[in-house]
Amino acid sequence: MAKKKSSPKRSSKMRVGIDLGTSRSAVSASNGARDYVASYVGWPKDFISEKVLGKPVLFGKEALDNRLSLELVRPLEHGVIKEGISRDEEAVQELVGHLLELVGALESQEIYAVVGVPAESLRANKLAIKRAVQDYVDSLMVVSEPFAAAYGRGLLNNAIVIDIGAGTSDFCIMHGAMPTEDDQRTIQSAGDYIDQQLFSMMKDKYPESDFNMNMVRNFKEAHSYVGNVKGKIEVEVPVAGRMMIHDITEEMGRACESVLPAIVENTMELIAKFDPEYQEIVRENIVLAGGGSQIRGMAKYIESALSEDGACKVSIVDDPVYASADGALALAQDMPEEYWEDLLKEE
Amino acid sequence: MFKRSKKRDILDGIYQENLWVAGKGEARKKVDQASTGALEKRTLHPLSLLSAASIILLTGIFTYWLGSTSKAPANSSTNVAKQQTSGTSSAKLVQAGSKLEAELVSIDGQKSADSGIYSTSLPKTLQKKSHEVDNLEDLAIAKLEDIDVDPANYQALAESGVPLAQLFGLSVRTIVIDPGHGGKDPGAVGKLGIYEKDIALEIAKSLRDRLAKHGKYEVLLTRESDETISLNDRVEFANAYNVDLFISIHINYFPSRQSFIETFYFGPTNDSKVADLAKLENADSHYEYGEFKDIIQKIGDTLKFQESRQLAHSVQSNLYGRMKKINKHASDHGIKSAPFVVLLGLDAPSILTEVSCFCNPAEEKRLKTAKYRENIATYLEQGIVSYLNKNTSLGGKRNGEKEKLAKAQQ
Repeated sequence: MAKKKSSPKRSSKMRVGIDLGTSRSAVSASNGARDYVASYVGWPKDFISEKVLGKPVLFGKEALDNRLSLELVRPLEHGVIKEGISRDEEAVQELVGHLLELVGALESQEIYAVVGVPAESLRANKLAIKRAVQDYVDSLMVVSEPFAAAYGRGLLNNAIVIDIGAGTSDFCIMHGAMPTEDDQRTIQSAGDYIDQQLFSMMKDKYPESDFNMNMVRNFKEAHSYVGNVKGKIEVEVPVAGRMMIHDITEEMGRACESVLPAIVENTMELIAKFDPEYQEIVRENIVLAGGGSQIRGMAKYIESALSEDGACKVSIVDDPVYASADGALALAQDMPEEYWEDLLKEE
Repeated sequence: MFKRSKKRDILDGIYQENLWVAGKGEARKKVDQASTGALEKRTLHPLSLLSAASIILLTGIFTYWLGSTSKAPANSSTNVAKQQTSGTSSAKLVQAGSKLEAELVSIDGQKSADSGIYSTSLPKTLQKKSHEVDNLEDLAIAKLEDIDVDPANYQALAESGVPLAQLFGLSVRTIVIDPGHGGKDPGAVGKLGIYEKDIALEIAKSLRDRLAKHGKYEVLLTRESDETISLNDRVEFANAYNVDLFISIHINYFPSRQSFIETFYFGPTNDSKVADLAKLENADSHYEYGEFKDIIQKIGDTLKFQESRQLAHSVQSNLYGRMKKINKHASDHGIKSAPFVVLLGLDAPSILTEVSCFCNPAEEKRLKTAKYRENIATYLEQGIVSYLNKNTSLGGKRNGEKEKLAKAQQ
């Protein structure tokens, strides 16, 4: 989608919710369309690459698959735009334009967007996101990702939402009011941390094998688990040019479990800060969102760990990949028109 | 059913926050604190560190100004100031005629003993012009933009390639070890019935004894026995003794095959966030002397952050590196910054280390043995001493360098 030009009249309005993630970004729109893409943006390295690829910019898996011909950027780090690198800001702009294209947004439409950011994002981070998005939308708000997920699921009271993403795990405790910073947390024990742990463990176990972080990420997405798993997890990895079977069952479990202590500890701390009269209710209403919630056994394992201190229930949102984007869209749709108008970008 | 009015309140809250982010509304205190917590929420850095930081900064500016108005020797920047670093006394600058050298005297007018600690020159970005400033007092009350010390420049100081502790020649004399929990608060309780508070205390005592043998440090414990002490009291205790280094010892709890070892340190998640915050939020402001203090505090916070991270790294790498040799289930969970009260409230570099884990009965059995606990204390000691040798003026190598520098300057 092309960037917006100054044009006072628009044919129609569209509300969108966007979850800009370190690993993947999702969008939900008021026309019912929604989509997601891996957060990769690539530009052809030279004239020949552009001719071969036939596009000036590639996104997601397509970009990753053609990375040797591209200047490939993964522009978000820990859920925010990497600091001080203009190429990353440009990549986020392209990504946002692509997401809006995916849901059929038109340049002629008036677009109001709510964008999810990590819970403890600084104002600087929010401004960077705004800068990157504002060329494509008419009015924009940023909200914390776990709060957006909570809002979208109607979890507005006596609940904790834990959004386990790639760059960050975000916590938000809901008590029937706008959550303050005390109600929210961001930690970096998340998917990327698991990837690093798994990579390191595999390197220790198979020093002669040849693999990269992208392969490790794919192994995780296919086989991740915590707790117990039936059978072995075996993957094919080249050794001296020949594909060999590698057993990574134990490494996968250990890597995935490595994020759990911090998640459990932060959850406990948030519960402990809640009104004691309602702590029991909150313990029964812990909800996981984000790609990390799809790790097999995750909810059960956290529930088991938290149950050491009393009964609790941990569930997973129905559609973890879209939870934040759907919630952001719900906010965009519920937000009064006059609020949007106040935030209209200055021409 | 959730009331519509409550929902409207939530939407209103989001709107207000976004107005603030867009610079169209008043800052919401809570949100503002969240964004700038790393800079504003914590208590002041030790007076000595702040004084040192502000003096060095002022001296650098002042020296440069002198250098720009009188023909200074080319190597003048290598001898900006001699600095007294004894913990509690404040200091003031005395201008030594037209010489490009300022030395510190204590507040009672006694010339300080030469500590053998010298600052190096400030990064060039901090050595900017100071026009129409006749003396230090004028400099102190000058508007910040007049002396062209951009708030973002403190980051340049942090990124100058020289650890701030070395830049300021800071030393470590008092180490406080904090055995986690105690008294009514047992901490984690293992399946075999052992308490985190007891194991932490035993390891802390061993570590205290080991560090004390070095003869260079005063080593204190926040508790000597099984007593209840609040986190605030621990922080106050440490600050009251002008702690230079703070190590809180804990045991993880998590049912697992592995024994999780991890170390937390004070600080924002990364320096660049703080830098960008300063740039973005202060870009169009006009800073006066009051804000100057904030910049100094940012330098202090950066210093504490840098040092805490390096201490955490040294302790974690030594602890895990050796633990994995005696416990094949030891699992390295690395170093992380975290908002623990006991870390945030301290004025000094501080870490909280989870030295082991009540994760399975086998590890609990090991923790019950004095030898295993002594081993952990030894590894902690090695991590701390390794950090001290590399990073502070008590490290032998650094002292040697300083002596050479001092001789060259005489």
